[in-house]
Amino acid sequence: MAELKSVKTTVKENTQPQNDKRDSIIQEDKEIVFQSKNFNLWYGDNHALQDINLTFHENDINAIIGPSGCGKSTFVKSLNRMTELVPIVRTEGEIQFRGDDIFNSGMSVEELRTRVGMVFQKPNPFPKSIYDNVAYGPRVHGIKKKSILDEVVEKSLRSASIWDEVKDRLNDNAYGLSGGQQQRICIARALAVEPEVILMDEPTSALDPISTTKIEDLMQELKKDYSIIIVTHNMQQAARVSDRTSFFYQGYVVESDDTNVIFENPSDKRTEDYVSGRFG
Amino acid sequence: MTVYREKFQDELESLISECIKLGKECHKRLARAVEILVADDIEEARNLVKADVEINKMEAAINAHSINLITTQAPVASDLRLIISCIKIADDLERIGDNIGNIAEVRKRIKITNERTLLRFKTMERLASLMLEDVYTAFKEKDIDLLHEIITRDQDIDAVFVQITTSDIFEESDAFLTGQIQLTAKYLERIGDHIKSIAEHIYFIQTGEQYEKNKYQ
Repeated sequence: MAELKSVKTTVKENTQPQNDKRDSIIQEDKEIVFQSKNFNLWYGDNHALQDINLTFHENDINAIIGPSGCGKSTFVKSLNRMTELVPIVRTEGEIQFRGDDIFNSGMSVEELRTRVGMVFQKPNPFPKSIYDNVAYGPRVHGIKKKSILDEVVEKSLRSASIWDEVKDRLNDNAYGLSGGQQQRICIARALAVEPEVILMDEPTSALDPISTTKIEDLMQELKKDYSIIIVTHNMQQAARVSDRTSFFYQGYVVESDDTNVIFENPSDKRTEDYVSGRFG
Repeated sequence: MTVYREKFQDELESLISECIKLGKECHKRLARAVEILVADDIEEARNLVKADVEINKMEAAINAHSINLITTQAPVASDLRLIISCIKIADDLERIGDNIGNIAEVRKRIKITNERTLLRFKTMERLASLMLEDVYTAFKEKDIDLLHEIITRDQDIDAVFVQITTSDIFEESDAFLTGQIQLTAKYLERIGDHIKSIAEHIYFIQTGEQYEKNKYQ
C-alpha cells in the first residue's frame, strides 16, 4: 500500500489567487493540496465555471456552498477529473494537485482518483458484502493476501467509525445497512486506498439527523489525516464542520474565506443574502 | 434573483419596532425624571416607580421574540447580529427604566431644593435625552460617525457628575440629603453609560465589529 501514497511535495504559495482571501501568514505551515488557477469549464456552450482561483490546504475541511446550478459539484468533480466523463466538457486553466497540473503533468486518472477519493450524495455501496465493498479498491490495486486485506478493511471501517456496528457481520450484504451506515461504508471504501483528499458531494443530504451528526463527527476525525472538500446545501452544516468556505454563484467564486467570516460578517452582499437564506 | 424569507424579514422589522417602542417609552420617562424630583406632588413619583413593570414586560417580550427567531429561523451574519444586539439593547433600556424609577424613589424619600444641583441634574438629563434621540437617528440613517460622537458624549455627563459630587453641597451637615443627591447623580450618570452601550451595540449591528474607541482616535 505504501506505493499508493506518493511523496508529498511542498508547494509554496507564491501566487495569491484573486478570489481566495486566505491569509498566507496564518496558513504557511500547511501544505497546499489543490490550487486552481483561472480554471474555466464549458458544457458545450454553457460556461459553467469561470476563472476559478481557489486554494485548498491539507488537514482543512473546505466547504463549497451555492445555489443549485452554480457549478459547485462540477468544480469538485473536476478535482478528480470526473467531469471528463461528460463528452461535451471543455476546460481551460489549471488545477494543481500537490503542485502538478492534473490535466497535463502525466499523472494518470487512475492515480489521481486513488489519491483523491470521492463520496457521493446517495450512498452507493456495491451489491456485495461489507467486507468486499471495502476490500474492492485494494484488490484492484493488486493486494491479494487475506491477512493484509483483513487489516485494511478493519482499519478503514474503524476510521469511518462503523467497525463496532458491522464487525460481526462483515459478510452481510451492504444493502442491508441503514442509509447512514451505507454512507460510512462508502467512506470506508474511499479510505481503503489511502487517499490524500476526500471529496464529498452532499454526503448527508439523503440521511436522517443522527446519521448526519455521525458523518459530521467522522469528518472532524478524518481531517487529522486527510483534506476534505465538501459540497453542501446545508448552511448550518458548512458552518459547523468546515474551516474554510467558498461561495459559488453562477459559475463564479463570489467569496472564499474562513468559515466564521463567511457566516458572521461576509464581505459580499450576495454571500450575506445566500447564507442568511434570502435567495437560492 | 428571487428573494425569499419575507416573513422572517417582517419578523426582524417587528423586533426592531419593539426595541424602538421601548426606547421611546424610556425617552418619555427620562424627560420627566428631574421634573418629578422637584414636583410638590409625590404621587407622580409613586406612579413612575409602579410603571417600571411595563418596561420590564416590554424587555421580556423582546427577549422572547428574539429567542423564538433564533430557534425557528437559524439566523446568521447580520440577522444574528441584529437579534443578539436587540436582546442587549433591550437590557440596557430596561436598566435605564430602573434608573429612572430609582430617581423617582429618591423623590419619595426627599425633595431636593438646591437650585444649582437641580440645574446640574437637568443638564445631565438633557444630555442623556439628546444622546438617546441621536442613537435612534444613527440607527435609522446607519450613521457610524454619529454613533462614535454619541459614545464620546457620555464624557459630558460624567463631567457634570463630577461637578455635582465635588460641589459645596457635600459640605452640608445633612448626610441624608447629600446621600440622596449622590445617588441621583449616579443614576443619571448610569443612564448615560447605558445609552453609550446601546450606541456600541448599534455599531456592532452595522459594522460586524465590536466598537473600539482607539480606532477613532
